Amino acid sequence: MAEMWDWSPRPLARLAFGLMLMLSATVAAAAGDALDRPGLVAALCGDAAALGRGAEAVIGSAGSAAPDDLAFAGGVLRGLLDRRLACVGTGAVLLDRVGAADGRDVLTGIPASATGGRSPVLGLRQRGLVEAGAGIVALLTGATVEARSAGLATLARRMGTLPEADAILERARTAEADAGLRRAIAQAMQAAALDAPDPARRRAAIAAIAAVPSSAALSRLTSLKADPAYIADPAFRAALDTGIASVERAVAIGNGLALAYNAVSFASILFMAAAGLAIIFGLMGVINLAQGEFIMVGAYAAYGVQEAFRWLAPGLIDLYLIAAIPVAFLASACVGIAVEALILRHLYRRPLMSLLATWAVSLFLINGVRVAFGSQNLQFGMPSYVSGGVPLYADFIVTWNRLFAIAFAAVTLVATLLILKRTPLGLDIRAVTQNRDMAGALGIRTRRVDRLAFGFGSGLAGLAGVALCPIYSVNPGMGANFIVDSFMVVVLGGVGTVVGTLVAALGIGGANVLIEPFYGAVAAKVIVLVGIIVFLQRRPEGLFAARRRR
Amino acid sequence: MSALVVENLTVTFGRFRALDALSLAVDPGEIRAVIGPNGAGKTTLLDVISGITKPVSGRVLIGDGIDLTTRSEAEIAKAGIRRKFQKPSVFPALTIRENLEIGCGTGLSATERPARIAEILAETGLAPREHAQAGALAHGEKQWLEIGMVLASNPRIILLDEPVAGLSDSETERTAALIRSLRRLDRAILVIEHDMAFVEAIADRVTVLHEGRTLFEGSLHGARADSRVIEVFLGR
Repeated sequence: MAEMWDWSPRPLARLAFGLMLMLSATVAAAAGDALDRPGLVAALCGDAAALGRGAEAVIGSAGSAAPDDLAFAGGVLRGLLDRRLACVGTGAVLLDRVGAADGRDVLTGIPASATGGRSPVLGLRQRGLVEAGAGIVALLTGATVEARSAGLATLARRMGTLPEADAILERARTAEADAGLRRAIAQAMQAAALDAPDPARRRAAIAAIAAVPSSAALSRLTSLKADPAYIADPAFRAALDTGIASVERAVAIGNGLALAYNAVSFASILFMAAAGLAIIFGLMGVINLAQGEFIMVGAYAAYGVQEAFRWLAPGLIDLYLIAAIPVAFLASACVGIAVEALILRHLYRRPLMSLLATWAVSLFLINGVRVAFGSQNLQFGMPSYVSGGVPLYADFIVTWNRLFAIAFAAVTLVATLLILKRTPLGLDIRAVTQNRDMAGALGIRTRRVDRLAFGFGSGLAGLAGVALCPIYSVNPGMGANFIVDSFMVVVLGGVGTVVGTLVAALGIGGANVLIEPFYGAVAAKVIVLVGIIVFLQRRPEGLFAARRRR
Repeated sequence: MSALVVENLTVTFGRFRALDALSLAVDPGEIRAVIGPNGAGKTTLLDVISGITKPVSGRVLIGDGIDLTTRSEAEIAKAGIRRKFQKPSVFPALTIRENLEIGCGTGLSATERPARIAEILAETGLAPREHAQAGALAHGEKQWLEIGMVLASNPRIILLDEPVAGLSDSETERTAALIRSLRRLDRAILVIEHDMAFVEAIADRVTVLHEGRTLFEGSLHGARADSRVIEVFLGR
């Protein structure tokens, strides 16, 4: 039969077949591989019942029809919906625009006049079927992701009334190249299965949803408790309860992982800020209240690099975050060295004075930046390597921006340890930290070491600024968010030890982030602070005090 | 010509005169012991020579006419003057090798250092513990390490502040032998010490300080016989 209805270029034959079809007013659902094109056209130009059957035929064959047939059917249905299909005689003409005098013959593509043609009128039911058909075709053959997902949306609205939906969705899913749309199709299939009349299929759908846990899956399953079957069918209830329990557990674990991940990324930035602070405080006894502003300087330097790329090399703008690393380090280091040379040099061995002086520097930097750039948050374009992430488990997504901060901190940690342990400057810094007088007596130029170390410590803060700009907002007052925590890290970790700083940063950053969701940010700070006070009562020298004399 | 000349040196801390117009001269090749009761100004004298404390007046000259009172600590160290502090002032969190590396200072190139460090390790008997942290050493070993750090740069003036304080008798003897072996014609050594047996064993001459002034200068034997010295040390 399908063979018979095959499209033929010969007008006469076409006419004959069309007539036959018209007379029988029957469009057999094309179960085979090929769509009956003339039959379809005839049906669409027929009465309301024939039109409905034509649309159903398209829907019914969509799971297996050849792509060019689908494209043909899509064009016709779309034209019908847009009132661009004119039925002329036994054939139909597709117009370029509504009301045009001529167009092309639907079957042959030959230019034809639409004079005397009529546009079929769509009833409510027929319109629905035609829309569904056009949507299905769009889902299967659409050229763009947008067109295909629009088709999916149309199909999803009418899922309950279409027994063929499964085959169509299966076909669409296997053919789909876009991962996001493929997921959406799979979800639609699940939804279809959930609403299926067959109880076994519903239970299988519940198990399938529970196998990919997320909070969306949880709310989907929870909403099924209102389903009549939940009370009526014990097997269904058992399946649903098991599914909900397992999803709940997985979501809880996923949330825990996400929390831990955030904690580690926060701790990473804290570590970078505090490592510089610990080096400076250990070496010179200077409590540098401007460290938070050195972070800000680093972040603003990153912004400057971004703007420079935008003007000079827009094609390479994705690389700005990498290029900003040395720039931010040098910018903060230069500011730090200038502060040391101009102010702090005169205040050594006067800790209170130097503390006040660095506070003044901090206020100066905040307001200087405010005047120069304004106090609004800076807009950072996110390069591809720090946007998005990989869903790992349940709702836990490994986001690239936080991974960037963590990796950055790890590299900084290794580099800092190498510089301190393996370079002549590092040896000098350690020697001066442990015994300034002896180091001076042995010919180490302690003032120069101070200056370089201050620059190095400030530069580390600048690196923290780069690491945090994909995660936190960047504005003149941002330093205040980090300085208190950084100091707690230094005090807790013990002065002048990089490892202690690392452990304390993980502890304090972790505690902050972990307590916050349960008791709020203020309570988190209070709890952490009280914990530190209690700890320092027992161990005033911190976790890892370097043995030294002053 | 003297290796080290201290001229009219006065140091005050508030109203307290730690050194009061003190003068002394140490010859090349000489080991000079400075003795005196607590508060006599011994350590202050070393502080001025090594540049940690600046005097109110007076000069400290070394061989080629350089006045140390106008120089920074690092410049003084570079001029070949090294000091061992009263308490062992090694860098506790660094290894023995790292300590000696710092001791070598800027005068030795990176290629000369390993040989020099090996020499010092052998001289001080610390070779087996080369990679141990200095903080883990026994008190006596710390003293030797510090002497080793002082020696590493081949200084021409060595200032030793109580090198045998807290050492056992046998350790003291070993230290005395070590210090005597340091004597060279182009080097002057200034030692502050309370242990008279030790001073007798090493010193060519002694200077007795009291309240920031020189009470006596000459042989230890002479000092023991001097009536003012006896009064200060034993009298009242």
